[in-house]
Amino acid sequence: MEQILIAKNLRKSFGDVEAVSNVDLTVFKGDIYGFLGPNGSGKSTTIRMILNLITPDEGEVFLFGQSNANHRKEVLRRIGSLIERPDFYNYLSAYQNLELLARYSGLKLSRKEIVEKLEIVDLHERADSKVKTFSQGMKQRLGIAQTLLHDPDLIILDEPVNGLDPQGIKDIRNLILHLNQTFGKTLIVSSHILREMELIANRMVVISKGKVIVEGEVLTLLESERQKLILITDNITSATTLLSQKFPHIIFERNKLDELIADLSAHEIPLINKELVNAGIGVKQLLVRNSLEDYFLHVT
Amino acid sequence: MIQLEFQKLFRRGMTYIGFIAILLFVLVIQIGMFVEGQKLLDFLIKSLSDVFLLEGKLINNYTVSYIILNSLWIHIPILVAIVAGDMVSGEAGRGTFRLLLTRPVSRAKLLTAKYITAQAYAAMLVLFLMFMSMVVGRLFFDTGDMIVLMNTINIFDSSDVMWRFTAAFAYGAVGMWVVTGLAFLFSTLATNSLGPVIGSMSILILFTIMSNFSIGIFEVIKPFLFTTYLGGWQLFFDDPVDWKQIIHATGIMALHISVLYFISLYIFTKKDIKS
Repeated sequence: MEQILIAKNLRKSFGDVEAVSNVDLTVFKGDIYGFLGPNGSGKSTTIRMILNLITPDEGEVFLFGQSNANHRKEVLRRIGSLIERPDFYNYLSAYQNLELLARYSGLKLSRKEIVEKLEIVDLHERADSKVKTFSQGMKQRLGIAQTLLHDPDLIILDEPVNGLDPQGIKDIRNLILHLNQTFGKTLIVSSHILREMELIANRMVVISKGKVIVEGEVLTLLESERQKLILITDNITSATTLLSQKFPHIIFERNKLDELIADLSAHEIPLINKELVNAGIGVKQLLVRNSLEDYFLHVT
Repeated sequence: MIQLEFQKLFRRGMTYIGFIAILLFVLVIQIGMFVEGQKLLDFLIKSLSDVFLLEGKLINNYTVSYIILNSLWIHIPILVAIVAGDMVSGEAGRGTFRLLLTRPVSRAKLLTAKYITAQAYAAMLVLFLMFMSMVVGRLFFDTGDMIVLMNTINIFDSSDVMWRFTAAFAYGAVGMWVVTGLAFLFSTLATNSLGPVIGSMSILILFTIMSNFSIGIFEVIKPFLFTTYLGGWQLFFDDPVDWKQIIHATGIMALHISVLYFISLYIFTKKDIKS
């Protein structure tokens, strides 16, 4: 698969504080690449180094096979990005902002072409409204529209759902999936909201205190983890005794809600269910929790 | 890119503050001189009247324009610094640099476009000052011979005045370009526009004090300070005009404009965009 981005051994310090340390990343064509980490973990600094806004102290970034330091303009022509807050010229309309940014990119787009970009993010009806009248969600969508102006191959969105209400978050999530699935764009999406990453990303990196903790396929990473089982039966005492005998290596704990909790491997779950059913114990509920959040908390 | 910078500049209300301020200042002076000017001039040339026979209207558009030039070179640097100081820091503060610098645009070209735009704005302010004093002033005053009191008394025939004003305003524009360059340099270091305005005005005041004090160490550096030459526009109202001194002063100021640009360029191209 074609590698769109390769970052090698990135390092950046601000004074005595090492913001990013030995970060390696690989993004493939067609990925929605989740960039996960708590606030202050070095996500934005890394993204800024990818985009040449910040010069790394060490390391290199290759985009589309070219060094971003030596071929800055060439690589930026193929990238659309929205970094942190969607800040625009508030005294200009949405259309004027996009027209201005297109011209900075060396593009002369017609009004129709610009309105088409606004249509993708459902802002075409507000094309001539001043940005200062926009809600945070609308600005966020306008931010995504500006990434599309030059039809880039790679879109980088830094914390795109920050400060949005649930509907706004859902809109952005759908938009990201739409850009990936309909237009074939590769996306790097950074966030500290893990649930969102779980829903959209196919590959991810987890970064903490400026260091890469883990990188890989989201599903593979989650599958490799132990699962948390929450079991509700019609006879909790019998179920505890039975399971403790049959699976002595697993610790079953009974909580205040009369639920049976256990950490186990994925392949053990059907075996547990089978034992309970064979013993005539009714299984009311069998919940398996293996979220990105659990994974994230585990690895960071 | 310069065109885009101009578009942004003139779509902002702040840009027009300078023009409005000049309009008001000049009108106040012109109306004041129209009402009370003759009394003021009579007071100023009282001692001359005892020796010379002065005929005709000495309060004319040229005299008033000269008075305006004298009083407004103090205020224009502030107006220039407000806009120049915001050119780079304003983008950083608003967060729009992230939008601009993640596009395939050269940092050096962007900064140069901004520098030229800021300098053009300063020139426009000076041109507007000239328009207000020389053209709008004609609504209040006639033209005529011009009397200038400096180290000597110079009286210029009305036909010999216009080129002197044009040259004085042009020279004044060069001086304002240095102030613009200074505010612009501070702008590349800051993320809000207040710092560059205060910084450049502080330097202007400090250098002006150093230029005007005749103390040993100041005497050594005085020839290198741009403030030493800011008032040089008055040389055009001397007879004969000291062209050698004007060329020297213009050269020193042009050097300042270039050096300030190159320092700004170096800082900006190396700068990490963290805001």
